[in-house]
Amino acid sequence: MNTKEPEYISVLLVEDNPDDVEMTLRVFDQYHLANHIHVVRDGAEALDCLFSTGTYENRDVCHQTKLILLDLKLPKVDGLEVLRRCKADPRTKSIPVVILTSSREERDVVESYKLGVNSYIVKPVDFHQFVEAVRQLNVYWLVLNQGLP
Amino acid sequence: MRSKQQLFENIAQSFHRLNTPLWVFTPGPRWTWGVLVLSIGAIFLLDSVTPLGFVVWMLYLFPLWIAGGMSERHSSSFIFIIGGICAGLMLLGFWLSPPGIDPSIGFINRLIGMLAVGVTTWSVKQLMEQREVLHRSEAELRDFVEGAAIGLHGESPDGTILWANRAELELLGYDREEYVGHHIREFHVDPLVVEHMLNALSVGHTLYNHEAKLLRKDGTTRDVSIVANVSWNRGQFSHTRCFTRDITALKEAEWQQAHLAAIVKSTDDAVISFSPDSRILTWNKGAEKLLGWTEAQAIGQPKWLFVPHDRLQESTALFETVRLEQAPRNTETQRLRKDGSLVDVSITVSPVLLKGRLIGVSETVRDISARKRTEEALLEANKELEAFSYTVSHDLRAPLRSINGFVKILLEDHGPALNDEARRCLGIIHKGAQRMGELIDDLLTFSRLSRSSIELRAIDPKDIIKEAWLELQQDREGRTIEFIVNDLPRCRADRRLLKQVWSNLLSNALKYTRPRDSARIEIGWSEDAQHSKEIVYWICDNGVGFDQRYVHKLFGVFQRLHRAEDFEGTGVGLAIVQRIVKRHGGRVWAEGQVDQGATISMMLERVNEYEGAGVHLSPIG
Repeated sequence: MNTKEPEYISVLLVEDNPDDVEMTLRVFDQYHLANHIHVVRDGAEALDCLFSTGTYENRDVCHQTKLILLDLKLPKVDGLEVLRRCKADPRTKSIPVVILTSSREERDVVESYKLGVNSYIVKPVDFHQFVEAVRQLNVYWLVLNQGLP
Repeated sequence: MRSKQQLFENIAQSFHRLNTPLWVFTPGPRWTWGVLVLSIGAIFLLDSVTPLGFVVWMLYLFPLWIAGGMSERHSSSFIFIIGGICAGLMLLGFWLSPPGIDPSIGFINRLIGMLAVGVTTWSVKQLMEQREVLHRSEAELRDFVEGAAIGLHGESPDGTILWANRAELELLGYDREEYVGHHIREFHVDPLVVEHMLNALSVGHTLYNHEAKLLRKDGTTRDVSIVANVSWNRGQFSHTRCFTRDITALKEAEWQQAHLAAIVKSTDDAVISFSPDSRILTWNKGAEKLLGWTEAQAIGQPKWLFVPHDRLQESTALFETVRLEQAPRNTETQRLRKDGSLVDVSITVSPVLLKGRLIGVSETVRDISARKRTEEALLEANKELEAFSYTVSHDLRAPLRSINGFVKILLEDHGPALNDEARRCLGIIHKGAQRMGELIDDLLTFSRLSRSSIELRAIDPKDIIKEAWLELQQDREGRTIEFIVNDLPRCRADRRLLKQVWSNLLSNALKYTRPRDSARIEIGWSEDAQHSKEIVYWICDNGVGFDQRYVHKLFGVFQRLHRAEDFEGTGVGLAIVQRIVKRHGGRVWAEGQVDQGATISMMLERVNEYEGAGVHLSPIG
């Protein structure tokens, strides 16, 4: 999506569906939260970005990340694996991770919470609800939530 | 104590002696000398006064002579000679002594008398001692027979029981007088058997271990093995002696063994037993069929004949456990066939105990390869199904979101540029996508139901109904609804699932009473008359009802009896209710009439009011 690399990333959106990316970004835009949002399209890229490996080598862009929005069904490395690696690494484990997925499957929810996810949100089919969900999520995690200093 | 017993025994022996003619003269050998002295005294006394002395001699000596003939130790001729000498002496004395009263009986005369009495007494003593010995050995024999562990009886040639020992009476439960003196036929179950035995005995055959069934006093029967032979007396059939051994337990064991053997022989399972050093002792047809080795090839081989190499340790450990715990164990493992292939089996290893002592171990091997294959296929199918519903859940909803999202974006960004018709079309697209989303969600909920686990516990439905009712706040807003919940007994169910049931039922009732100005929803219960262990809850409304002709469609997935314009919904609600109730082992049914409301009933397992923590006490009187 956004081809130009940001200096730092405050929200990392891991999402492979371009439609969902566009809609999510639209909501961010509407509520003026789009600053420093970075989109990666698969789990491997997400891990590269978070741990400064691969194409992100020598670029520590994630040190100020306030939120990771993570889809579960991703190409290459799936969302649960990203979550597991994220929560296992001391550099990233304090970043709140919110699962934003289509899956209502119980095992996904249970597994996510086991791995220490901060929130699990099912993407509603209805656009209004989707907008509302993304908005509330941002308000909570970016505005109200007091993160680590 | 001892002397008293001795005395008692002596008296008993004396009574016994009443049966012999000797009793008249002396009660026992020790007394013989006393009798001798008395006799001699009497001879002197009477002889000197009166010839009556001779009469005493006669009375005393003649019976002695006759009794002497009964001696068994000395030949009768010997006693006869002694008796003859006595009689001769007697006559001599009589001849020497003049008839009538003679006051001067000579010394010789007396001497002869004394000699006669002495010799007679000696022979009597001999006789008595002999009797004593005989009596003692007879008593010993009697005791031996009476105390024998085996049943014994004697029979006359015609089959009448002459005597029977204690063991035999105890075996059959009769008193002596109920048995002795009766015909043996009365105690045999099979008349043919007894006739055969009597016939064989009458011609002098000996019966060895002849099996028969005897009737006990209490009506039960006993299997016995009889040994009988004839006692001959001077070429004459005197009586038969029968030895009766109780073989009921043996027969029972034989019978059981025959049954077990038949089972072991005919079963398709391999049944193999091992000696304590784990060598194969028995090998049935099933083992031959399943594993390939014949009985002759397998017996005597060590157990690893058919245990694959990598399972040896497991098998040895299992045997050890069974030996230690002396309790059977089963497990699923693999066994080796003769052709080298492996077969999936379920095995049961049991200790072989004889009176509590371990004498070996047995292993029952069942071929479960077919079941394993089915299980694997089922697992595969389940996995596929799960993957499918995962895909449905994940991927089917994404395009819908796009449709919805971009319709909205179109309307928001380009709304003013569109005409009414375009906006109406977009509305239809939006609604269609929305509905498809609902259908997918409901379908997923429905398919998840059969996968989710059930946790049964006693549940008060009133709490659940209240919760569900509160959650349906939105559907009730601005309506007049009379909602009645009667006192409901508890049932056994999964709380989460039961709540879904009530939530669906209430939401249905609310939906279909919407056209009513004043809706009425009532929940109650009735006892299922036939099965009081079950309870029937019902929910009744005054809504639009349904046509009873289509009741069979009511609980089907995506089946609807109303048009979508009239009542929203996907037609999954009651299907979910039915599936949940069925998973609880209950059933659900509906009754209704168009415009007359509907009643939906469901039957669940009732919980005893006294069971569990929340004891419900109903007022008395």
